[in-house]
Amino acid sequence: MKKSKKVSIDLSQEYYPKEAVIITCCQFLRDNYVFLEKRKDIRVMLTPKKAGGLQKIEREFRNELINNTLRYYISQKNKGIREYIVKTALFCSQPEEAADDLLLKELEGAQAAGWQEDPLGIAIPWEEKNRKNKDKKKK
Amino acid sequence: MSIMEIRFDNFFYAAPAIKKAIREYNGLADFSCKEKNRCTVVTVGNIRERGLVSLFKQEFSNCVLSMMGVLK
Repeated sequence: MKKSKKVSIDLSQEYYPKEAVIITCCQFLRDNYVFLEKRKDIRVMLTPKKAGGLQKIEREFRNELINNTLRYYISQKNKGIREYIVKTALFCSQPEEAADDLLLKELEGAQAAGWQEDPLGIAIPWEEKNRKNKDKKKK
Repeated sequence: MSIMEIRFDNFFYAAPAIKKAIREYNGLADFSCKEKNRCTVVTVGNIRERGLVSLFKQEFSNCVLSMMGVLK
């Protein structure tokens, strides 16, 4: 009777997400030939490159799959927090020169306007400003 | 001249990964690709190296899986 050179592992999708299975398969690529099929459940076929140790490979695969499944579920739970941390880190890493450039542009704009132009109405005397407000109230 | 068909289930194997693997193996054989029954069927023919024929399907499948890891 010929010894089987490969091992087939059937995995229920109820317990093992597809992503975790694929990650586990990638970890076993170096020493095995791996092929995935979709039957009723997920079927993983492992053929070791070097003869021997089929049961050991299957047990190692199943163990690693549990680890990756746990990592997957944790990463799903922490996704929002991780994105927030990365966004905050990127925002804080912006150079300070960017803020200085904005200030310079404002000053240049103000200078270009000339001393006679008064876009913010600073040069209007207080009495004149209040007179305008009194007129508005009377109306 | 042997021709082999490899069926990659679209549930696991992404089309970009398969195409990238075909590009990697371009010089070793002739490839054609089609979609059939939610699978990508890759037809391989004219394998240049005779010594590779027996292991070609397995090595190519491994390459596709490794490309999946890269793409993710």
